Amino acid sequence: MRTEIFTDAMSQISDRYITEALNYHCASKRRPTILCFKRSVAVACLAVMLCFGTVMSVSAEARAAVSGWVIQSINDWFGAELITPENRDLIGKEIIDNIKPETSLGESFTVSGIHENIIDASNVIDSVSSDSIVLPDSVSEFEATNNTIPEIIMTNGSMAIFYQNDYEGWNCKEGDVLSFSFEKYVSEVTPNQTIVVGYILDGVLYDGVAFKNIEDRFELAITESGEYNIYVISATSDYLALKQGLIEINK
Amino acid sequence: MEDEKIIELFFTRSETAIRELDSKYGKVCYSISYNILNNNLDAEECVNDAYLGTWNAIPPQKPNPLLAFVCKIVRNVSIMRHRTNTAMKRNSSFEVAMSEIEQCIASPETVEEALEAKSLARIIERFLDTLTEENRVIFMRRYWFNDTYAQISERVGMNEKNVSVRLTRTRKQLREYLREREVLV
Repeated sequence: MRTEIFTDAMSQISDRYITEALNYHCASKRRPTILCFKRSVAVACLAVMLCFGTVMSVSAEARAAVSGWVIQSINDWFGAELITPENRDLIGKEIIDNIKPETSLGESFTVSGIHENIIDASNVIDSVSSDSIVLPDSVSEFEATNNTIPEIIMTNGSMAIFYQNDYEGWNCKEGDVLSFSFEKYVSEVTPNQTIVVGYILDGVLYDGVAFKNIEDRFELAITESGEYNIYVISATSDYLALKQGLIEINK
Repeated sequence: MEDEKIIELFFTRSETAIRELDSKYGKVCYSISYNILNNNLDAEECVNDAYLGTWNAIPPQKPNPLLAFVCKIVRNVSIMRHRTNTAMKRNSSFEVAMSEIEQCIASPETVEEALEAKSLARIIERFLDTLTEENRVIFMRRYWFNDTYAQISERVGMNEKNVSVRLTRTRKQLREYLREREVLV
């Protein structure tokens, strides 16, 4: 189809669609996302730390304690992150300074406000399938390369969504089975940490299933063709770390 | 000035009508034309031509809403100018938007010959009705007004990446919709 035909067709479209697009303005400008908020708080804390630089420089113990606290607090606030040399020490550890500003979004946030915030923060989620779904405190998105997810570390209530190129999901057809094989790092605190695994279909978030085993597999028999993304939510109070996992479609 | 008053001025053949129309909707009209032509002078000329078209159309027509009516004329005049402008480089928002939709609907096996633009317009309208208001506005702002992602993101209050993802999904849905109705074979 030539674009001229499309252009001509668009020229003959009803006035009501044009008027709607002319008059539409979002009800409220986008609120700062949780991530932005958390980053701001983290930056502010680091600034405070710098002010205490003199005090830190006189004592090695104080320096070590403060540095550890800063790393842990930043990781705590950031939700889910790739495992890096800087945060690898936190795998399996207990969260000591469990400061969780993201769980108290402020009095002005209604339930729908929280929905919008999580949805705004995500490039994959457009809406939720049901209001009864318990939404995460934060959302982070990770690219899966060759269907393999990267190693990540998560805090309680954080969500990690996996995507392929350009935030695309996995195209499944009715009758396929979409599976996600994963393995957790062993926790020193809780032997059976709970992780929730679920899916997003064409941008709509659906409820997940809880898993406790160290190694397990989430399987979804596809009844509706579309674009699927897998997500995980940490439902444990301490750091939950995932090794590389595999997302597959069995046709 | 209220739209009704401006239309009254057109009916009385007062040239103040054009001034009032330009004062109220000039920016929107210019923006639509510029997004297609990517050239200030061409856009200004097309907007003036569209005002003349409006002058000739009212009366007898009494459009409601006036803005949508004028925008349509501006868009049509600008597209005609664009088509005759063979030296046009592929760098306007219109060109980029059309190349996106071309990837979505282009097919050597189309039955486009049998399909009039008018029929396709009705099909697109039915497709638009299946979208949420927000996605419909994003689609229209991109493929009718030829807004950039940045302009759309500012209007709908989301980031550009999110707008891009929404449009990708909507194009995909449109393709499926057209395929199901055998507009695309």
